[in-house]
Amino acid sequence: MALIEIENLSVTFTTAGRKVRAVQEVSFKVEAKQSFGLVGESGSGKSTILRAICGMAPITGGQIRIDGAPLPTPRGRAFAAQVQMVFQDPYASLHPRHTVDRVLSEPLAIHGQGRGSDAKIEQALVDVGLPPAFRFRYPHQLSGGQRQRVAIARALMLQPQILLLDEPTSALDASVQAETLNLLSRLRAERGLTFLMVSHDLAVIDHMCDRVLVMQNGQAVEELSRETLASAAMTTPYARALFAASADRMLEG
Amino acid sequence: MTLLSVKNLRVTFETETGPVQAVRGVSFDLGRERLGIVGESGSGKTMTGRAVLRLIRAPGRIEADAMTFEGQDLMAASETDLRALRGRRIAMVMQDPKFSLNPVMKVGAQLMEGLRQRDHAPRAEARAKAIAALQAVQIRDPDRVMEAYPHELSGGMGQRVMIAMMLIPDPDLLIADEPTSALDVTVQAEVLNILDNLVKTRGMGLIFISHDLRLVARFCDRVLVMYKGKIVEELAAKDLLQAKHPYTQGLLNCLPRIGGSRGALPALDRNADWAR
Repeated sequence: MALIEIENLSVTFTTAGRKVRAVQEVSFKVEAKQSFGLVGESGSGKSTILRAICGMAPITGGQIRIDGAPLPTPRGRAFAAQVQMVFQDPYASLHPRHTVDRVLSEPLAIHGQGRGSDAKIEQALVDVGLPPAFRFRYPHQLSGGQRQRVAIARALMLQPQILLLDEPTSALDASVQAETLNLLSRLRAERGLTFLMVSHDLAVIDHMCDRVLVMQNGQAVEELSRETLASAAMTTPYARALFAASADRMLEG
Repeated sequence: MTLLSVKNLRVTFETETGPVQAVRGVSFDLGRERLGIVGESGSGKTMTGRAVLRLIRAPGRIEADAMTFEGQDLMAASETDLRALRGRRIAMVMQDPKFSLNPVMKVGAQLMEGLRQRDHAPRAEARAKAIAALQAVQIRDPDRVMEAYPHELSGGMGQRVMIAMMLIPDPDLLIADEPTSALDVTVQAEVLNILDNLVKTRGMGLIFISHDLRLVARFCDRVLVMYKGKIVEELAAKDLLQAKHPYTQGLLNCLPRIGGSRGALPALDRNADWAR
């Protein structure tokens, strides 16, 4: 049985009386310890799927099951202990007036795991490659890459099984992106995590994921395995166009 | 023929902890060609672009042994001289249309503003020129776009509007500061093609500032690689894969590739001699 099952998921936003169908009957499955990618342009609905899983988008059809069980609404603590999200922009997703210590201790306090939190926080920082001395810094005292490491440490505080990654490196420089991707790969291998990752960069998705779902205008276009992608054996014109426009193709010109 | 010549450019900011040099002795010559400036954030690439237009405000300070545009000394130019240059001769396209267009002014009014104020063009003529500029950047329904506010446009459309705006006075040099980094890959390709055609057909010089080495390699003739305010390597774009400098090589190698190895990506060694 797959760990994450998304079946005919639809999300519809209503703004000013107008309905926007952000996600239209999308289905896919992610096995435990797999890494699955969602790729597409902005507005294709890829981030909305992650937000729908977390209960942050209005689901109007279909079902999301984790470990075979439909998700409760509201999501609740058990969900937070199992599924965590890392957001795109580390400049916006960390509270500007909370220290790293407060950001990392909050999930422990909420879940009644506050005992021994000192050691846990220091260990969490070491795990993401930051010196323990960073514990009492504020986000503005960190670089973009360091902030994203703090955001990853925060997501891992409750030892979740599943990480939802929403463009985790698109706000970072190429070299910092490489370091962050390496960190994510290492953590996945060490802890047996399952990744559901969103990106507009096909090369990043290919590096991180076993399978990819290409999306356009809220609809699933084509699901590709890593081999299909590498051998450019996609069948739909849109997936091919995305592949052709992908930045890493430019060097081959 | 040399359009722009920059010798030993330095940009310094006074801070509480003493002066910080954002650009430390940059020199280059530009003809009617496409020059790329690449580097990470903080490498001084944007400051170099802004310094050419003397668009750095106090406490920032611009110094150079020489900076000339078609024989005119930019360092000695008065604020009035610079106003005549900016926009008309040297134009700049900024990174993000969301922050660079006036949010409470219709696109058409923003496009026509320069023509009306600077060239004292009659309203009908300004409107015709604005529509022609929108068509030049391949906007299909220019009449609708003229009447739209910036928030009603997508990122790609907004960026095209900015390019159209810069092209109306037909400048000799265009400085594009990360013009496509807020855009999706497919839209990015379209915007680049538009820029490319304009540069070719109008014979402009172009300075293309970007953090994306691959993009610059495809799009430019020549590339300057900057690190910590200095040019570490200058090379023809087609030779980028044969780059000699460890920083350029590092920037190239740290990018994931489709069908590449799943192993750890090589990270930059910032402790090497060249990084000091």
